Amino acid sequence: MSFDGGVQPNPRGQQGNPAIDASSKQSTPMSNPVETHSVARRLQSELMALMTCGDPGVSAFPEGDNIFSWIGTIKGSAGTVYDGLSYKLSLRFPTEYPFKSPTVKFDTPCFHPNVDQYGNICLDILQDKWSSAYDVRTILLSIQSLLGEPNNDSPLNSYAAALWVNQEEYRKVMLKQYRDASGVNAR
Amino acid sequence: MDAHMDQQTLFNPEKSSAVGDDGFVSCLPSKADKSLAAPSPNECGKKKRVQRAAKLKQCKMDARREQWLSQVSSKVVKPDSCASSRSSSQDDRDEKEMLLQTAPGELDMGTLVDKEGLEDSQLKRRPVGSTSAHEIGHLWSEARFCIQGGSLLDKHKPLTPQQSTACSNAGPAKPLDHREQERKAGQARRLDAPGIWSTSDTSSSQSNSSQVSSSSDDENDEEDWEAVADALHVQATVDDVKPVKPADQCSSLNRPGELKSLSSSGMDKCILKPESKYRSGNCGSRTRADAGRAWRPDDVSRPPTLPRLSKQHSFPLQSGPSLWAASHGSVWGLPPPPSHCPICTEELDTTDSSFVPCSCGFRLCLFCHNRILVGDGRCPGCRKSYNSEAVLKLSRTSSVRPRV
Repeated sequence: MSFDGGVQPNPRGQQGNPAIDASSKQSTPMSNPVETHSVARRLQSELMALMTCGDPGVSAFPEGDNIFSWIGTIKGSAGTVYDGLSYKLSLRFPTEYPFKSPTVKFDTPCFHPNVDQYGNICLDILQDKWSSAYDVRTILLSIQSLLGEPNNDSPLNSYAAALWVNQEEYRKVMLKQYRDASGVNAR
Repeated sequence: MDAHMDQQTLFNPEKSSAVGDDGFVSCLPSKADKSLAAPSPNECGKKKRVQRAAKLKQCKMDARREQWLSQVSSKVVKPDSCASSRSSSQDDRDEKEMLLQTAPGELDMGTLVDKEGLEDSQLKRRPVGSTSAHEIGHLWSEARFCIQGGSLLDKHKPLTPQQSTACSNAGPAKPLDHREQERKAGQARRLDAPGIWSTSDTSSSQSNSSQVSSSSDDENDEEDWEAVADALHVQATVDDVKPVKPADQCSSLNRPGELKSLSSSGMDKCILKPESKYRSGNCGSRTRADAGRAWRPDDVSRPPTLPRLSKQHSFPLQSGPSLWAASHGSVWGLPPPPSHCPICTEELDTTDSSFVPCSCGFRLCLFCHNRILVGDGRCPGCRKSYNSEAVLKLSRTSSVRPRV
């Protein structure tokens, strides 16, 4: 446990995260090995909690042996247009995690008012409402909840936002996109 | 040490020979020398008779004192615990000041003079012996019986090398002490090592004799009540605070409800200052100093403050409700682990668990709090700013764009 990388201007640890480096949205992660270790420790703790008290509909696991990059899965809640559908997401954790939010994107293309065509999610807790008290489980549950209750006031997909009022039509369009994506991407 | 021994032998040159059989009573001669006339050698037999009588009397006294203490401990000690603890701490302070003021060579004399007034008044009130030898003998025997009281029920033990060192150190340069003490050990059932140490230290025997005289003299009210209550407190606190001490040989000698201050000071001496048995010539001041040092935390944690001590000890336990509050104050449905920081999952130490930076009750470790202060400085539990809750400026506008 240590202070911010800016306070202790050590060069970044040898255990860098290529996913974070590749991410253009994240600031250059400056961290020392101690902090990286503490982040990994927290992530492992989250993984343990997620696997033991498995919530229905959400799951996540590290992608490969990189603890800083996870693949999450969300199942659409019953009673929503997303019922029975499964979406994969990628979670990239910065080395400042949990003081900075992870980058969460839909890997499976998702037709949703608050998800753009690249899979970016407009969710406040992933941006300015992020709190270090959140974790992977709360993120995934929030996204699962967002699927059924979109915020149509600030849409990323205005077509989906406009179509939301007509749930039957919306489901048709959404299912078509989902099948296309599944067939094309085969993810 | 040496200066004191010289002083002692200087003060009572004839007593060293006359009282050789009481070699373990090392500090008393100077005291007796100051207040009373020295006994002549032909009074030794008389003195032994007096001792035997005094032993019988002591047994009665002890019985009465036990009875009296059992009556008192329920009535007096609990309501008067504040006053008695205050007075005892006052006594300790006074004695420490006295110790500080007096030069090392004068330490014993200083403490002895300090303790002498009460003791002499109690001695003179007692109608035991008219002659000084009687008084001395009574005083010594009493002092010794006070210790013996603890070991009266014990089996007769032969002298251990520890004891012999203690004895030889107790009496300054008296080689007949060993023989005499062995003989006495054969006569009376006594001479356990802590007993000897305690006997050789004047203050404990003084305090004990003062207690005994308080139990015997019914008109000694307040100081003796306080002394007894003090002794009870000492015993209680010693038993409370130091239960894990390897004081088996000391504590096993004690009958319950008897010789409490003596046993406690003996325990302290045995454990805290094992070298004090080699310094029995200096024992008066040493023991008072030891007792003061040993009691000092106990003075703070006397019965009025014992809850505080238990609070300190049970502090991690008491963080349970607050953690409960924290877990229920966090609106995220994320109850933090009871003993770990919810942010970094490190274990919360006592400082961390007592650290509640936000009014919402969300707890986190100091490192994470500091880290958050470097950043946006908002509580993870409620998103309010740690600095002032009025600074809360939420930029809810562009939610898509990440804040870099």
